[in-house]
Amino acid sequence: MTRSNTTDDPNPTLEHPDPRGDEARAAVPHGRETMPAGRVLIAMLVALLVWGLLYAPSLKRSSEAQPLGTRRTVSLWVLRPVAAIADAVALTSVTDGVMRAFGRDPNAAPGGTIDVPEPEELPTVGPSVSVAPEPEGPVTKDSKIRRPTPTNELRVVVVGDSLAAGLGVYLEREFRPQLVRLSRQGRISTGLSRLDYFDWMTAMRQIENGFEPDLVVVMIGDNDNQSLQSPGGKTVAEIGSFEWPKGYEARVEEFSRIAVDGGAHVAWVGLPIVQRKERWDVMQRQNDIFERVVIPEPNALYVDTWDRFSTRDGQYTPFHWQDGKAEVIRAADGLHFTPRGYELVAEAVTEAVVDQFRLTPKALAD
Amino acid sequence: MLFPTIDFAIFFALVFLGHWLLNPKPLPWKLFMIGASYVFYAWWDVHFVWLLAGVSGASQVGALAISRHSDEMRRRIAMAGGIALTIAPLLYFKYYGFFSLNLTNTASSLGLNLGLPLVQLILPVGISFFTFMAISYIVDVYRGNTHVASWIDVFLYLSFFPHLVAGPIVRPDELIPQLDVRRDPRHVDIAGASWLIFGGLFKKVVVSSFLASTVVDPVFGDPSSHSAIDAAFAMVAYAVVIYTDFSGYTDIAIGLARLLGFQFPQNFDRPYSARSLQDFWRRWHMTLSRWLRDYLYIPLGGSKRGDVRMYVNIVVTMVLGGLWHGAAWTFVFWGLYHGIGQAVGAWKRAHLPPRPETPMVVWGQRLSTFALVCVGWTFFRADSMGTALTLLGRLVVGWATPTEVVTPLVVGTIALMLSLQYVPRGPALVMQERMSRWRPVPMGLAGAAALFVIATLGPQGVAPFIYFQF
Repeated sequence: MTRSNTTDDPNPTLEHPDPRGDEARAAVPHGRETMPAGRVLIAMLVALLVWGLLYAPSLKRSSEAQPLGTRRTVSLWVLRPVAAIADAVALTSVTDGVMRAFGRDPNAAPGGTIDVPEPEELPTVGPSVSVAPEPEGPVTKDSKIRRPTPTNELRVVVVGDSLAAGLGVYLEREFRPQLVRLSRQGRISTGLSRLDYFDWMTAMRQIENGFEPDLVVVMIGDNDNQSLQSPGGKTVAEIGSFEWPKGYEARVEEFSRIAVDGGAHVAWVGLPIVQRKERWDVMQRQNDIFERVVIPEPNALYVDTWDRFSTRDGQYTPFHWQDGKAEVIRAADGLHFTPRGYELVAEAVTEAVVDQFRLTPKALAD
Repeated sequence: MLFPTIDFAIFFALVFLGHWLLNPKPLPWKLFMIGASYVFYAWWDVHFVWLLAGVSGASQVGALAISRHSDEMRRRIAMAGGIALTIAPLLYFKYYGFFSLNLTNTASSLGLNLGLPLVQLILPVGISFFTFMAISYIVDVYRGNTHVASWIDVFLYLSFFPHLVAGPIVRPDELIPQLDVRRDPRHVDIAGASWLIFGGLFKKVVVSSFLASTVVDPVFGDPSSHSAIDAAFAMVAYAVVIYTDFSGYTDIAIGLARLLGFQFPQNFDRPYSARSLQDFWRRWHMTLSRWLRDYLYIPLGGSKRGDVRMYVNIVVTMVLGGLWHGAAWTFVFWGLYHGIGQAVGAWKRAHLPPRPETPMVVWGQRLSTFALVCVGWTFFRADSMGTALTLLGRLVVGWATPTEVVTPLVVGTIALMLSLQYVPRGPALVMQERMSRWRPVPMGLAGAAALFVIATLGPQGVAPFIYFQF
């Protein structure tokens, strides 16, 4: 530790070179001591290593949730023994206690948790009214969604990945708040492939039990070009294998079934066309699966966004033309939407829900 | 590479080691630091590395051209050419899409078809910052404020990773001379640097993330369904969010530079204690304010060409400053709002007698300035003018709606962060002085505990810093 040259300047500038050599020394306020670089490195390494030990269980869980690949393998190779040491010396139980004291769940899923209103706050769900299909309306579904009232609002939940998170914001604006209560449950980076990162099946059951939605709007799948993992982290089907499409379709069915069996109607929003053409093949196959699962279901409908946001010749465009004027509707990443784009997706969803589930237009905002 | 990530922690530990090992050998040290800075930049998108190198090369070509002429006209032409070359990528990547779209739509309203190609481009991270620094290098060489540096120094000056993506905007005469002086490895200001780095991490990871996710995002996402109280809190919370986010980044940048033996200029000085909009801009993003003053306002004529011209210059400078933040009408309006506010303030100072400095007057000025700043931030944050106006409208008509986002923790966090604006620096300096006497191992253990608390209180994954998009 070395007593520095001193100055009272709180925003010091570089001093003149040290008279003993041609080295410059950063000026520090009066009374503050400096440290040689080698010792600073020791302090940095101690900080990183001890923090790594303290936080090893959380780091390990985060690493397990990373996309499969070299980075994940190397991270786990380093972190598993560190986490084992932390467990062996009972450090994990201490840090878990500290985390709980801060209101954090040390065993929470890496993708976050679902926070839904308490069930007792909710009125009971009215039964769906089955009606005969109208002869001239092939788009009309068999089941009509209930008519909301100010004392028994229609409960809508938007679930899925970051696209759903964006859609939820703008879908909420489409509804009349006095008649529709919307819960936004989009979780970034999630999907149906990596249930070890975020278990959407469990989350959907939690939402069904806690929120008892009348309408579930799903927009999911953008992050699903990965091997199917179980909630426990076991590989169920490798990406690219013959088992993958079957396994993925089974998950889509299960997810949809949880919502429908809970009494809700489902509006499944397909994946939109994206800028990177190399992703088109997989995404269109996912959309085929969504359609195949959803369309036969009387209480479910499919909202296409692929063709809706393509050019006439089926190409990607970030623009939407209306009355001779252009609007930017896609974000610069070539995947997400701009606010105006999400508005258009939300309009497409509400149009479909009004047309096919015959939601009363009074439930929509002016 | 984001500062609050494990990737960056490992990167910095390696750079720190290489930096001090190579410190006695200037050329290898400079090449190492340029390499490290380009790796840091390439972590986002390797394709834009050429852009950083191109802007660096263009600014040096401009500076060399200026230095080779003694004729004033030729020097001016060289400066203009250098600036044009340097700023062209920024204009293309950041503004072409915005202006071509608005021109096309305006022409369409008049029944014309301009046929401009519409494009949407990914904005290279940090381009606004390193372009401004490149321009200041060219202009300072022209003005004689700095000498033409070597190629390697210019490349390192512009790419030096602590300031690369979100400032502070360091002037050539503040950084280039530091590159040619060996740093003393016996005297690293670890206490001051740690204070800045951990304080910055706490502001960004804990405070900014918490208020953004619990108050700002929900209310700005759907202002029409929120109450007047929610709207008011969202406006104030965003003032705290953008301050903790940006000053947090800057503090980390300054702290990292200090660990490497460099001094960066201060970028914030308790801005929400300002007593006027002019005072606010002396305290908020100070390195941008002085850049706008020195390279825009003064060349426009400053206050030397009469009162009316001065007011116009203030407004023009602030509108362009608004546009610097983003190619959208909300940013243009935000700049116009601050420009008019500052012009009115300048008129008042020139024509009205100063008010007595009573505590009531001083606090009235502080609170009214803060309220004005919060209204301005509403346009800055909103995704459209319509959203901003809806949110402001809720302050008038939203009193019947119950609050959804205001909790004791939210109120306490906002109150704490705003009250810190009025805490004198003395106690912090005393704590740093005490910390500076610690040995390396206790200091490392304290750092580990601080990291654990920050990581525990912060969310899973941290959003990029707000100013990265500018």
